[in-house]
Amino acid sequence: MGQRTAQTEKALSVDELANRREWWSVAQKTRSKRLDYLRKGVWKKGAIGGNYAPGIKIDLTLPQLFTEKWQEQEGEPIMLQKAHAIAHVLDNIPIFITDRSQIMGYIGSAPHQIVWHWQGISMVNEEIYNEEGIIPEPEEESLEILATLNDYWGGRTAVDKLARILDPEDAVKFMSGAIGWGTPTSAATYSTKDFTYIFKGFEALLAEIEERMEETEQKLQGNPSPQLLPLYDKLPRWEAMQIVLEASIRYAKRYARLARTLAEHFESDPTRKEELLRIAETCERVPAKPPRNLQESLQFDHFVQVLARYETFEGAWPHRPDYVHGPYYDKDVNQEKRLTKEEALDLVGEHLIRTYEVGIFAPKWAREGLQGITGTWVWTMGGVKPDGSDACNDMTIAYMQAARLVRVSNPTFGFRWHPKVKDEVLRECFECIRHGLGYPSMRNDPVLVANTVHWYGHPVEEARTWVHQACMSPCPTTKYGCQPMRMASATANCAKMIEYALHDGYDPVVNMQMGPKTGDPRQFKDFEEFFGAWVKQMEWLRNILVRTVNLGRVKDPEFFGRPFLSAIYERAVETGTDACDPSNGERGNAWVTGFTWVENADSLAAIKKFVYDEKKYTMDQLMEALNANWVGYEEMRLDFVKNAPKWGNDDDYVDDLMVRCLREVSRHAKENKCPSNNNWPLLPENVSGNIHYANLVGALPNGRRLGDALYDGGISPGPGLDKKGPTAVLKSCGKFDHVTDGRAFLLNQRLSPTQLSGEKGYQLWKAYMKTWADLGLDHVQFNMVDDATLRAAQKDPEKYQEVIVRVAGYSAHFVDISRKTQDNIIQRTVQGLG
Amino acid sequence: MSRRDKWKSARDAMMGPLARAKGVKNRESVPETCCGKCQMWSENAYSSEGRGTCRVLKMGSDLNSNQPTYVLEGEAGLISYFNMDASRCTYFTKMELIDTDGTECSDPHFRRALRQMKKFNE
Repeated sequence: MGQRTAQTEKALSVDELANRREWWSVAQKTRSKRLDYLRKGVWKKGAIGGNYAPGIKIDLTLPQLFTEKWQEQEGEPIMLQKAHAIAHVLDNIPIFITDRSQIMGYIGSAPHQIVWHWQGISMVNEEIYNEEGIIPEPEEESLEILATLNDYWGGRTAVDKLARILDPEDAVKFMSGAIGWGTPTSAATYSTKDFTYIFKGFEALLAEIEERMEETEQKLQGNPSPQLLPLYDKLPRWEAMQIVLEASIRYAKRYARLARTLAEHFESDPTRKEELLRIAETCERVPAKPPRNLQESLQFDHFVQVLARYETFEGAWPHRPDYVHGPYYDKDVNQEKRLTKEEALDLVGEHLIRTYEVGIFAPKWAREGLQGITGTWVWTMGGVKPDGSDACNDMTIAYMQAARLVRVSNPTFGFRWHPKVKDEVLRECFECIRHGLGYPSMRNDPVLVANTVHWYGHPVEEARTWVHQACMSPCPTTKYGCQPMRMASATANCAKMIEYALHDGYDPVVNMQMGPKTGDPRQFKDFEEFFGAWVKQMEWLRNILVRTVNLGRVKDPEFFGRPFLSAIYERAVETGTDACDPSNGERGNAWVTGFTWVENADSLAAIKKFVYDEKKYTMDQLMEALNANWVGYEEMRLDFVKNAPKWGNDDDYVDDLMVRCLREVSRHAKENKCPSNNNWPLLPENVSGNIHYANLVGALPNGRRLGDALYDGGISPGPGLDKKGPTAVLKSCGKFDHVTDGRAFLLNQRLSPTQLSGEKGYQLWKAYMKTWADLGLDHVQFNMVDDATLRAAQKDPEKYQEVIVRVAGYSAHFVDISRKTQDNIIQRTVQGLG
Repeated sequence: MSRRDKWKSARDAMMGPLARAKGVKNRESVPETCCGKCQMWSENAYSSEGRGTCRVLKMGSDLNSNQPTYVLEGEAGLISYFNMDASRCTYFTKMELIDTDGTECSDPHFRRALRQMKKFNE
């Protein structure tokens, strides 16, 4: 394919390209000129491997504006101080309108710049100072600015404050980077948003806040009592909410003014002039008032997302845009015929592109763990309405079609499958997968609604509103269901559970006594004793992460402050609290993300079989081999790889151990409590954490060496270790209960694009999905790009810029991930169906 | 020393005032022999601001004094920075720097992607 000349490439028709499965070329030929222009003009903000693309620079305007106002307001309550600083940024940050675009709003001063919030984590502030390639020219001047910012914020950030009150042992172990990742602050976070409330318009929210302030002020004039005292703290919080809402309206109106100025004084093309005037009208209307049509509803939505990211790093994008915008599409396209389907598709496609272009600086560990993207922006599609009826609409289809045209790797979609989904919608999902997007991931709605009710007690009508809070975890979008802050900061590197059980709690890689001393395994009498040590290490690892995050959560209103998010959270407006304050009625929806989980089951099975049941090797021999990183023990290592039972082959020996491990964790998940006194279930998945942690997890009894990539999924078998076909994988995964044994379970599968071509391919996939649903699995996602294409892309990346693969809970352009991750994806078993 | 005090000194080394350089000059200064060029030093996986851990020395070691102290037993490895002067450390073992552009990720033992280390790659 790579040998074709430019001339023959041009001559190929769309059908011919489709037959060759060159879907990226099909997209370029079939999308509108506007979408083609916008797609090609967008800056890539995700890291390539671990580094930002050439030309991407850190924005220094935002932190300087923020800090100068912050310093002026020193001494005010934090939420008020921050509201003034954010308003100052929104009033002064440079804005721009991209040619041919119809949706406004960007985070930063120029389209090639990414932002960071200096108030959050001083370690990351220093990392930016040290980072190569992103410092704007002239470098010397920029370094002075950065050093001044860092000198001021050092010791003052949310994480600095938290580290001072954490138990010092917990702080050191948490920040060793070995056992987990994430930051226990809403400085690096994400939040569910309830658009039924937000779409009332900011003027309505301002009126509500004003009413509550007046009511409170009246109470404060009454008889003094202890009950009145907390009210004094509410007033500055409400005032902070007012300040940011008013600044948000002004920010939108700056775009309106710019668009009108361009239309009236600079634009000569009458069509574009008309578009600019429509943009002006739209930005004058929203977010101040409720949207009336599709453009206004998309614009309102995008402003909210942009504004939230002017407040903090929102690394995920919990959303259900087909459900939110569907009624406006229906009104414009079907009822009033104000827009044609093609015009609507342009708006929807641009919505994806504007989202893709959002970039916020991510520290190195996050870039390695989320290669190729800026955050896990998994948008939720389909599903049911609160009454249980089918929620799919024309907008569901429009998003799927637009995704195939613009082929961005962020956002991706998770589709809430349920038995009433119409065939035409399911076909759209399949077409996206067949086109090699790697999304939508398929989610089993009835299972996940039941799971949401089981773990947190959300009422079923609320559970049915769920969106992906990040990659995988459902969260209701209701007044008491919305999660304001990333609770998966408790992200565990689970392979350490088995590693610490083998090493008496010592971490040979980071040279530290991490877990409890559970004893030298050479002295254990039987497998039960060894398993007991594993349970203790598992409990310790979860405890330290959850403790840290719980503390970060309750201290967040004091250490960070979220005036904008609070202003759009109904329960925060009602109670005059910070949105992150868990005392304002939040029900709780926390989970522990379990990276590198399956290594536990495979390693335990190998130990049980070879050391205890068959006595083929002594524990002493195994420990010698592991301590040598298997060097000098290759024959023995291959025995452990090939002949020890492996998860994903419908083999009860290892599958029973997986179920046993999950049930131990689920028991413990109910003993860990979040600040709302709710549970902390496990959610096994990896983003590209399996690559990030490759050098931090030592040799394991499944035959893995230090440095080898870990398994890629949450419950996916090891690459190439699932020998018995796709049904055996599903059967293994169906042996535990996806409602009660954990929060959700990520399963990666690779399918053959040749086998799944045409109508026959769709029917095969549909039959596979039926088995998946019948077995009660909650998740599955597919890669359907053949090895030849992926290898060609490795050799000639320039030609394959829009080839997308599913990495884990997200998709990425193949050329943007590291070689190690690329190879890991190619190694995954291609499953033949039927 | 109590458990809390012992770990407090490790935490302060990691995050306290001593850990923070001020101004451009201090941040740019990288001695010819520094922890960042040593095989025994691993960059921390949690942050890439230059913090790391020694695989030989433990907390309580002191490389800054005229007569360095080497502690080889203990629960936590010595936390130091990439630009810490290691000229007096008898355990310093110079490493070959490979993959210095950081594009191939997850090889912290062999990657020093910090801008200030660039001069050693040229």
